[in-house]
Amino acid sequence: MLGELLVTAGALVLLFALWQFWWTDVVADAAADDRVAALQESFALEAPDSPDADLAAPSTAPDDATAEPEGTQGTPDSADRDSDPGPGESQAPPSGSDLALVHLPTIGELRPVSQGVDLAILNLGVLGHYPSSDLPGEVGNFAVAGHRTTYGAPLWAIGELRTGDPVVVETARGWFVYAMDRTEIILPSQTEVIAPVPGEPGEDPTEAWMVMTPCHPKFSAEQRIAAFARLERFVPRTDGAPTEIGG
Amino acid sequence: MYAALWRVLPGPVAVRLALLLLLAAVVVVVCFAWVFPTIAPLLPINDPDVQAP
Repeated sequence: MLGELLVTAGALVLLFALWQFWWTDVVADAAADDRVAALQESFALEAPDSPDADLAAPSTAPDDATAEPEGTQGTPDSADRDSDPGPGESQAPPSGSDLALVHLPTIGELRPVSQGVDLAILNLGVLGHYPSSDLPGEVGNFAVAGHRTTYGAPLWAIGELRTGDPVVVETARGWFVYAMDRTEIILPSQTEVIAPVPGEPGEDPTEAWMVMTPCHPKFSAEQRIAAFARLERFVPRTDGAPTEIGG
Repeated sequence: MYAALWRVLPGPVAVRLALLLLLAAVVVVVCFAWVFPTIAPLLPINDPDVQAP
Protein backbone atom coordinates (compact mmCIF):
# COMPACT_ATOMS: atom_id res chain seq x y z
CA MET A 1 0.00 0.00 0.00
CA LEU A 2 2.70 2.45 1.05
CA GLY A 3 4.82 1.36 -1.89
CA GLU A 4 1.98 1.99 -4.30
CA LEU A 5 1.40 5.44 -2.85
CA LEU A 6 5.06 6.33 -3.21
CA VAL A 7 5.21 5.05 -6.78
CA THR A 8 2.09 7.08 -7.56
CA ALA A 9 3.62 10.19 -6.01
CA GLY A 10 6.77 9.68 -8.06
CA ALA A 11 4.76 9.31 -11.24
CA LEU A 12 2.87 12.53 -10.48
CA VAL A 13 6.14 14.40 -9.94
CA LEU A 14 7.42 13.14 -13.29
CA LEU A 15 4.12 14.15 -14.85
CA PHE A 16 4.55 17.63 -13.39
CA ALA A 17 8.05 17.88 -14.88
CA LEU A 18 6.65 16.86 -18.25
CA TRP A 19 3.96 19.55 -17.97
CA GLN A 20 6.34 22.26 -16.80
CA PHE A 21 9.19 21.66 -19.21
CA TRP A 22 7.32 20.54 -22.28
CA TRP A 23 3.59 21.23 -22.24
CA THR A 24 3.82 24.87 -21.09
CA ASP A 25 6.15 25.52 -24.05
CA VAL A 26 3.70 23.92 -26.49
CA VAL A 27 0.74 25.94 -25.22
CA ALA A 28 2.56 29.25 -24.83
CA ASP A 29 4.35 29.07 -28.19
CA ALA A 30 1.05 28.47 -29.96
CA ALA A 31 -0.64 31.35 -28.10
CA ALA A 32 2.28 33.70 -28.78
CA ASP A 33 2.31 32.81 -32.48
CA ASP A 34 -1.39 33.61 -32.72
CA ARG A 35 -0.81 36.99 -31.10
CA VAL A 36 2.12 37.73 -33.41
CA ALA A 37 -0.07 37.05 -36.43
CA ALA A 38 -2.90 39.22 -35.05
CA LEU A 39 -0.48 42.07 -34.32
CA GLN A 40 1.12 41.92 -37.77
CA GLU A 41 -2.31 42.03 -39.34
CA SER A 42 -3.38 45.04 -37.30
CA PHE A 43 -0.07 46.79 -38.02
CA ALA A 44 -0.60 46.30 -41.74
CA LEU A 45 -4.11 47.74 -41.49
CA GLU A 46 -2.96 50.72 -39.45
CA ALA A 47 -0.02 51.54 -41.67
CA PRO A 48 0.08 55.25 -42.51
CA ASP A 49 -0.19 54.58 -46.24
CA SER A 50 -3.15 52.27 -45.80
CA PRO A 51 -6.66 53.54 -46.55
CA ASP A 52 -7.77 51.80 -43.37
CA ALA A 53 -5.43 53.82 -41.21
CA ASP A 54 -8.26 55.76 -39.64
CA LEU A 55 -10.33 52.75 -38.70
CA ALA A 56 -10.15 51.22 -35.28
CA ALA A 57 -7.88 48.22 -34.98
CA PRO A 58 -9.84 45.09 -35.80
CA SER A 59 -10.07 42.49 -33.10
CA THR A 60 -8.27 39.63 -34.73
CA ALA A 61 -7.46 38.19 -31.35
CA PRO A 62 -7.88 34.43 -31.30
CA ASP A 63 -8.84 34.20 -27.65
CA ASP A 64 -10.34 36.21 -24.84
CA ALA A 65 -6.99 36.82 -23.20
CA THR A 66 -5.87 38.91 -26.16
CA ALA A 67 -7.27 42.35 -25.72
CA GLU A 68 -7.59 44.73 -28.59
CA PRO A 69 -4.24 46.32 -29.25
CA GLU A 70 -5.30 49.84 -28.41
CA GLY A 71 -1.77 50.93 -27.73
CA THR A 72 -0.76 50.38 -31.32
CA GLN A 73 -3.00 53.11 -32.62
CA GLY A 74 -0.56 55.94 -32.19
CA THR A 75 -1.06 58.47 -34.90
CA PRO A 76 1.96 58.54 -37.11
CA ASP A 77 3.65 61.88 -37.13
CA SER A 78 5.96 63.19 -39.76
CA ALA A 79 8.73 64.17 -37.38
CA ASP A 80 12.25 64.22 -38.76
CA ARG A 81 13.17 60.62 -39.23
CA ASP A 82 16.90 60.46 -39.60
CA SER A 83 18.49 61.88 -36.48
CA ASP A 84 15.49 61.81 -34.18
CA PRO A 85 13.51 58.59 -33.93
CA GLY A 86 10.49 60.62 -32.91
CA PRO A 87 8.37 60.07 -29.86
CA GLY A 88 6.86 56.68 -29.29
CA GLU A 89 3.20 56.23 -28.56
CA SER A 90 2.51 58.19 -25.43
CA GLN A 91 -0.72 56.66 -24.14
CA ALA A 92 -0.42 53.65 -21.84
CA PRO A 93 -2.13 50.58 -23.30
CA PRO A 94 -4.57 48.56 -21.16
CA SER A 95 -3.15 45.69 -19.14
CA GLY A 96 -2.78 42.49 -21.10
CA SER A 97 -3.07 44.10 -24.52
CA ASP A 98 -0.32 43.75 -27.10
CA LEU A 99 1.61 46.89 -27.93
CA ALA A 100 4.58 45.82 -30.02
CA LEU A 101 6.59 42.98 -31.52
CA VAL A 102 10.16 42.27 -30.52
CA HIS A 103 12.43 40.72 -33.14
CA LEU A 104 15.65 39.10 -31.90
CA PRO A 105 17.04 37.96 -35.26
CA THR A 106 20.35 36.77 -33.80
CA ILE A 107 18.61 34.09 -31.74
CA GLY A 108 15.62 33.65 -34.03
CA GLU A 109 12.90 34.95 -31.72
CA LEU A 110 9.81 36.96 -32.62
CA ARG A 111 7.49 37.68 -29.71
CA PRO A 112 4.60 39.99 -28.90
CA VAL A 113 4.97 42.48 -26.07
CA SER A 114 1.93 42.67 -23.79
CA GLN A 115 1.26 45.31 -21.19
CA GLY A 116 2.08 44.13 -17.66
CA VAL A 117 4.50 41.70 -16.01
CA ASP A 118 2.11 39.51 -14.02
CA LEU A 119 2.76 35.79 -14.34
CA ALA A 120 -0.70 35.41 -15.88
CA ILE A 121 0.57 37.54 -18.77
CA LEU A 122 4.13 36.23 -19.01
CA ASN A 123 2.90 32.62 -18.95
CA LEU A 124 1.32 33.25 -22.36
CA GLY A 125 4.79 33.09 -23.93
CA VAL A 126 4.92 36.83 -24.50
CA LEU A 127 7.23 39.54 -23.27
CA GLY A 128 5.67 41.78 -20.63
CA HIS A 129 6.08 45.54 -20.65
CA TYR A 130 6.74 47.05 -17.22
CA PRO A 131 3.84 49.53 -16.96
CA SER A 132 6.08 52.02 -15.14
CA SER A 133 8.59 52.07 -17.97
CA ASP A 134 8.54 53.95 -21.25
CA LEU A 135 7.04 52.87 -24.56
CA PRO A 136 9.04 51.66 -27.58
CA GLY A 137 11.28 54.34 -29.08
CA GLU A 138 10.65 56.87 -26.34
CA VAL A 139 13.52 58.66 -24.68
CA GLY A 140 13.92 56.70 -21.45
CA ASN A 141 13.73 52.97 -20.96
CA PHE A 142 11.47 50.44 -22.70
CA ALA A 143 11.63 47.62 -20.13
CA VAL A 144 10.25 44.13 -20.68
CA ALA A 145 10.23 40.90 -18.70
CA GLY A 146 9.97 37.42 -20.15
CA HIS A 147 10.53 33.79 -19.27
CA ARG A 148 14.02 32.38 -19.80
CA THR A 149 12.74 28.84 -19.38
CA THR A 150 9.31 27.23 -19.75
CA TYR A 151 6.09 28.89 -20.99
CA GLY A 152 7.58 29.33 -24.44
CA ALA A 153 10.91 30.56 -23.04
CA PRO A 154 11.02 33.70 -25.22
CA LEU A 155 14.37 34.77 -23.78
CA TRP A 156 16.03 31.34 -23.56
CA ALA A 157 19.06 32.38 -25.62
CA ILE A 158 19.49 35.89 -24.24
CA GLY A 159 22.98 34.99 -23.06
CA GLU A 160 24.03 34.50 -26.68
CA LEU A 161 23.36 38.12 -27.60
CA ARG A 162 26.57 40.06 -28.16
CA THR A 163 27.30 43.77 -28.21
CA GLY A 164 25.93 45.28 -31.41
CA ASP A 165 23.37 42.55 -32.08
CA PRO A 166 20.08 44.07 -33.27
CA VAL A 167 16.92 44.16 -31.18
CA VAL A 168 14.09 45.37 -33.39
CA VAL A 169 10.87 46.63 -31.77
CA GLU A 170 8.02 46.85 -34.26
CA THR A 171 4.95 49.01 -33.73
CA ALA A 172 2.19 50.22 -36.02
CA ARG A 173 4.40 53.17 -36.99
CA GLY A 174 7.48 51.21 -37.95
CA TRP A 175 10.60 49.62 -36.56
CA PHE A 176 12.74 50.87 -33.70
CA VAL A 177 16.18 49.34 -34.21
CA TYR A 178 18.07 48.95 -30.94
CA ALA A 179 21.60 47.56 -30.67
CA MET A 180 22.69 45.33 -27.79
CA ASP A 181 25.01 47.13 -25.43
CA ARG A 182 25.70 44.77 -22.53
CA THR A 183 24.25 42.23 -20.13
CA GLU A 184 24.49 42.34 -16.36
CA ILE A 185 23.72 39.69 -13.76
CA ILE A 186 21.59 41.33 -11.07
CA LEU A 187 19.42 40.48 -8.10
CA PRO A 188 15.63 40.35 -8.54
CA SER A 189 15.36 43.37 -6.26
CA GLN A 190 17.52 45.62 -8.44
CA THR A 191 14.71 47.61 -9.99
CA GLU A 192 17.09 50.37 -11.03
CA VAL A 193 17.66 48.52 -14.31
CA ILE A 194 14.17 49.55 -15.45
CA ALA A 195 14.64 53.21 -14.46
CA PRO A 196 14.40 55.81 -17.28
CA VAL A 197 18.19 55.96 -17.21
CA PRO A 198 19.04 52.26 -16.71
CA GLY A 199 20.89 51.79 -13.45
CA GLU A 200 20.48 55.40 -12.37
CA PRO A 201 17.00 55.96 -10.92
CA GLY A 202 16.00 59.58 -10.53
CA GLU A 203 18.11 60.80 -13.43
CA ASP A 204 16.48 62.51 -16.39
CA PRO A 205 16.84 60.42 -19.54
CA THR A 206 18.42 61.80 -22.70
CA GLU A 207 18.71 58.54 -24.63
CA ALA A 208 16.27 55.81 -25.62
CA TRP A 209 17.14 52.46 -24.05
CA MET A 210 15.56 49.06 -23.81
CA VAL A 211 16.11 46.40 -21.16
CA MET A 212 15.02 42.76 -20.92
CA THR A 213 15.04 41.04 -17.51
CA PRO A 214 14.68 37.24 -17.72
CA CYS A 215 15.75 34.83 -15.00
CA HIS A 216 19.31 33.82 -14.37
CA PRO A 217 20.66 31.21 -14.32
CA LYS A 218 18.37 29.05 -16.44
CA PHE A 219 15.77 27.13 -14.41
CA SER A 220 16.31 29.36 -11.39
CA ALA A 221 14.81 32.58 -10.09
CA GLU A 222 17.80 33.40 -7.91
CA GLN A 223 19.05 36.21 -10.12
CA ARG A 224 18.12 38.13 -13.26
CA ILE A 225 20.11 38.80 -16.36
CA ALA A 226 19.48 42.33 -17.59
CA ALA A 227 20.17 42.87 -21.29
CA PHE A 228 20.51 46.52 -22.27
CA ALA A 229 20.11 47.83 -25.81
CA ARG A 230 20.32 51.39 -27.10
CA LEU A 231 18.13 52.87 -29.84
CA GLU A 232 20.07 53.30 -33.06
CA ARG A 233 17.44 54.47 -35.49
CA PHE A 234 13.77 54.44 -36.46
CA VAL A 235 12.54 53.00 -39.74
CA PRO A 236 9.03 54.21 -40.64
CA ARG A 237 6.62 51.59 -41.96
CA THR A 238 6.47 53.32 -45.33
CA ASP A 239 10.20 52.60 -45.79
CA GLY A 240 9.74 48.85 -45.36
CA ALA A 241 11.31 46.48 -42.87
CA PRO A 242 14.94 47.17 -41.89
CA THR A 243 17.69 44.88 -43.15
CA GLU A 244 18.25 43.51 -39.64
CA ILE A 245 15.03 41.53 -39.92
CA GLY A 246 15.38 40.67 -43.57
CA GLY A 247 13.63 43.70 -45.05
CA MET B 1 -4.64 0.04 -3.65
CA TYR B 2 -4.40 -0.83 -7.31
CA ALA B 3 -5.40 -4.42 -6.62
CA ALA B 4 -8.60 -3.14 -5.01
CA LEU B 5 -9.22 -0.85 -7.97
CA TRP B 6 -8.77 -3.78 -10.34
CA ARG B 7 -11.34 -5.79 -8.39
CA VAL B 8 -13.84 -2.96 -8.37
CA LEU B 9 -13.69 -2.46 -12.14
CA PRO B 10 -16.34 -4.45 -14.00
CA GLY B 11 -16.09 -6.63 -17.09
CA PRO B 12 -13.42 -8.77 -18.71
CA VAL B 13 -9.72 -7.88 -18.74
CA ALA B 14 -9.92 -5.84 -21.92
CA VAL B 15 -12.69 -3.65 -20.54
CA ARG B 16 -10.86 -3.20 -17.24
CA LEU B 17 -7.69 -2.16 -19.06
CA ALA B 18 -9.63 0.35 -21.16
CA LEU B 19 -11.25 1.80 -18.04
CA LEU B 20 -7.85 2.08 -16.36
CA LEU B 21 -6.46 3.96 -19.35
CA LEU B 22 -9.48 6.25 -19.29
CA LEU B 23 -8.99 6.94 -15.58
CA ALA B 24 -5.30 7.66 -16.15
CA ALA B 25 -6.18 10.07 -18.97
CA VAL B 26 -8.64 11.88 -16.69
CA VAL B 27 -5.93 12.23 -14.02
CA VAL B 28 -3.49 13.66 -16.59
CA VAL B 29 -6.02 16.16 -17.93
CA VAL B 30 -7.05 17.32 -14.47
CA CYS B 31 -3.38 17.75 -13.48
CA PHE B 32 -2.41 19.60 -16.68
CA ALA B 33 -5.43 21.86 -16.72
CA TRP B 34 -5.88 22.76 -13.07
CA VAL B 35 -3.50 21.21 -10.52
CA PHE B 36 -0.12 22.01 -12.10
CA PRO B 37 -0.96 25.60 -13.13
CA THR B 38 -2.00 26.21 -9.52
CA ILE B 39 1.15 24.89 -7.88
CA ALA B 40 3.69 26.06 -10.48
CA PRO B 41 3.90 29.66 -9.19
CA LEU B 42 4.98 28.27 -5.82
CA LEU B 43 8.19 26.86 -7.32
CA PRO B 44 11.27 29.09 -7.38
CA ILE B 45 12.05 28.62 -11.08
CA ASN B 46 9.63 31.00 -12.77
CA ASP B 47 9.67 34.65 -11.84
CA PRO B 48 11.25 36.74 -14.51
CA ASP B 49 10.53 40.31 -13.48
CA VAL B 50 12.38 42.64 -11.16
CA GLN B 51 10.54 44.20 -8.27
CA ALA B 52 11.20 45.88 -4.99
CA PRO B 53 11.53 43.28 -2.20
